Amino acid sequence: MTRSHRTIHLTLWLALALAVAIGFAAALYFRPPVQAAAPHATVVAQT
Amino acid sequence: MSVGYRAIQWNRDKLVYDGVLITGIVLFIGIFMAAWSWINPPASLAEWSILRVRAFGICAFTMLTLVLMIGPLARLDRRFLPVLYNRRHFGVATFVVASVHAILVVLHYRAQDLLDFMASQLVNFSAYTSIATFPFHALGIASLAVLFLMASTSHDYWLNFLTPRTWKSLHMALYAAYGLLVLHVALGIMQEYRSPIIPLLLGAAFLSVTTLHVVAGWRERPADHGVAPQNDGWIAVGPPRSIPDKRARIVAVPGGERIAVFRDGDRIGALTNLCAHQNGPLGEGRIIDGCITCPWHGYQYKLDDGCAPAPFTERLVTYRVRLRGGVIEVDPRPLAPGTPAAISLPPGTT
Repeated sequence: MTRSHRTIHLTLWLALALAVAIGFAAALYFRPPVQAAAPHATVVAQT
Repeated sequence: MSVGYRAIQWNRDKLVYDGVLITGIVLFIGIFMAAWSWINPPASLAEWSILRVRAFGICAFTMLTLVLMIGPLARLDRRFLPVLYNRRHFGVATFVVASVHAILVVLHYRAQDLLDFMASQLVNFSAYTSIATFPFHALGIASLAVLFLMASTSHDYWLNFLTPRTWKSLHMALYAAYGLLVLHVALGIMQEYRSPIIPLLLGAAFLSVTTLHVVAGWRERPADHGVAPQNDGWIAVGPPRSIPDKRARIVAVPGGERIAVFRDGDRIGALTNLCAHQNGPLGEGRIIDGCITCPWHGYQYKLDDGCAPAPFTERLVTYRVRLRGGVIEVDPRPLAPGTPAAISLPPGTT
């Protein structure tokens, strides 16, 4: 890889890790209780 | 390595690689479906349909996780280089498995008469504001679109047409596809099942891939700091015999690209560290059959002038080298690709 690719590569992974970690934590924290889940959300989530 | 473009040039290594790959996919899906149906027997055709969807989905996610681990593992440990050799077949196979997953989802919704509902969810923009109602299928579709782009441009024709620099930049989109896929699972099946196993496996997979990439990238940083050039602009490499025979020492000036200084017995030559094929790290390869051989895909170049042996036409940038005061020095100003620049060491040089 070229020097610039190595720099972009490392920066990209750090940014991606941060973005996905925030999304993942939010998805985990805001999981609705099973009985309170919206009916359509349950249907869609089946797959 | 080829002078023309063919769909795929099969050799024994590729056949073995693809054989192992296909066997692994069949075994993964078969074992997953058998184990799941044994633990939780499906009671209807719809439940069998869901099981098939999940088996292909989890297989695709696992494959993409492994594909993304190959690069940094090969940087950290040379024993993983054989897996890197045919990585593109692994990537294309991942796209095929992910496509089957997507087709099975559509067929499942069609059978349940929910296809219109699914489509309406994708364009219901208010649903995107809540975790509970987020249309996670949109993330899967976006990820599949990126995988399609990667798979369709995986051939060397596109690599040559786009140039290695652009092709490499384009294929970094695969990282974004992986991020989208993690969120597709997190906002999909993880919302329905309360078992901690899904977040644990999902988090562990993403953390492993991220850690490998960051560690491999971080370890590269010192080599990019470079060596300050002398007054005449040349940089010192070291005594000739400090360069291992048939291997290279990699040097760079601050802010510059890396230069690979090879020794083949009493011959010393310097070339760019970037292979013409995919910008692979040429200086980490070795001289085989008299040619510098890239560790990634075996592209070869002559030490004297950086040209690929006939009938191949690739040419690399070379650099002037000299022996002064018992030390090999290299001029970091590049010569035109294919310019002869190697030198012979005087007899008795240490």
